[in-house]
Amino acid sequence: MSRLNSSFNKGLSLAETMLVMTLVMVLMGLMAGLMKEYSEILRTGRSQTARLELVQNALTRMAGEATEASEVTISDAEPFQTLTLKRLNPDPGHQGQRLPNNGIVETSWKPFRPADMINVSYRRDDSERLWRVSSDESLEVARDVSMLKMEKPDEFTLMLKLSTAQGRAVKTLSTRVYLFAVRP
Amino acid sequence: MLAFGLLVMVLLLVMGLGFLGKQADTYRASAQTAAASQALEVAMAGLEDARVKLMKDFKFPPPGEVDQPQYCYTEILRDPGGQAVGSYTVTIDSRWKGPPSSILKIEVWGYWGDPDNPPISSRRVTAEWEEAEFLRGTESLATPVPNPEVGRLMHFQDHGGL
Repeated sequence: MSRLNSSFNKGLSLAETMLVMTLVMVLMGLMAGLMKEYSEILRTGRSQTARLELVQNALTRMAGEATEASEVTISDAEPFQTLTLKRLNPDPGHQGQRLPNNGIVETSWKPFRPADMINVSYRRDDSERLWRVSSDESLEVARDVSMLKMEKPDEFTLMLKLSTAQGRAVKTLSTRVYLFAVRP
Repeated sequence: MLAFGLLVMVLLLVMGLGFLGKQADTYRASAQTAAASQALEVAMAGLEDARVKLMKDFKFPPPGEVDQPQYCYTEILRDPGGQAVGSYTVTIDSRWKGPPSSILKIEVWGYWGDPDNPPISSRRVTAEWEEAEFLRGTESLATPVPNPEVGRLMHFQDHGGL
């Protein structure tokens, strides 16, 4: 009992303490290295995810708007392709006038009157920005778009492909849009 | 030394919980995106249901009172195994049924999730159904020009959801 007490009260010698401290320091150093590496991976991943999210949002927006369009045309004029959509003016105020609540419309009414339609185009510029351009506004939809490719294999299908590049890593997102095509 | 060790452990635990919390937010956001897409598909199923009913049943929508131009119905959407996956509510507005407009306005709310519980997500789409048998402006001619687009959906719009 007395030996146990004396051993318990003894504590660590200077050499033992230094050994333990060294071990703890080495472990902390290793962990710090791992944490640094992990945070770098996270940072790169976050940056890539943010880019991909922007490109994904742009792709979803383009696909959604193409679905709502009554006419879809692709211009292959250099240097970049342009997607032009003819669609119903989505402004709620305008739509309320187009089909008034009392159900009475003018006798010359047509479902595709030019006054009710707007043209919207999507194009990429030299600085890798994707723009949505309509008669009243130009809106930057996404940045860092390294490639925008569109194809219309038939009357009812639109293929959209967008890429974003970070260094040598190029991520490409693509989708097939089934067009709700009723021609005026 | 023990206290120091415990402090390091607590620090690591807090950092780990922080990382996990961020991951949970990411997973929640992707789950919401997926649910919104599912609600859109349910709404599209409702639109297709209305289209087929309009095409196949010449008494659809059933004629109501003069002051009741809207016809509304709700159906449960089931997967191939018979499991209810959502429901859609279709409203067909006949206010513009007669000439010169000759269209039916269709509004569909798609609800994703068990119909017995509040929906996980919802989505609203609208479209117009072309009713004009002849091209507008040619009805009064001796030989009116048939409208090739009669009985088709046009002006589809996705209004988003909740």
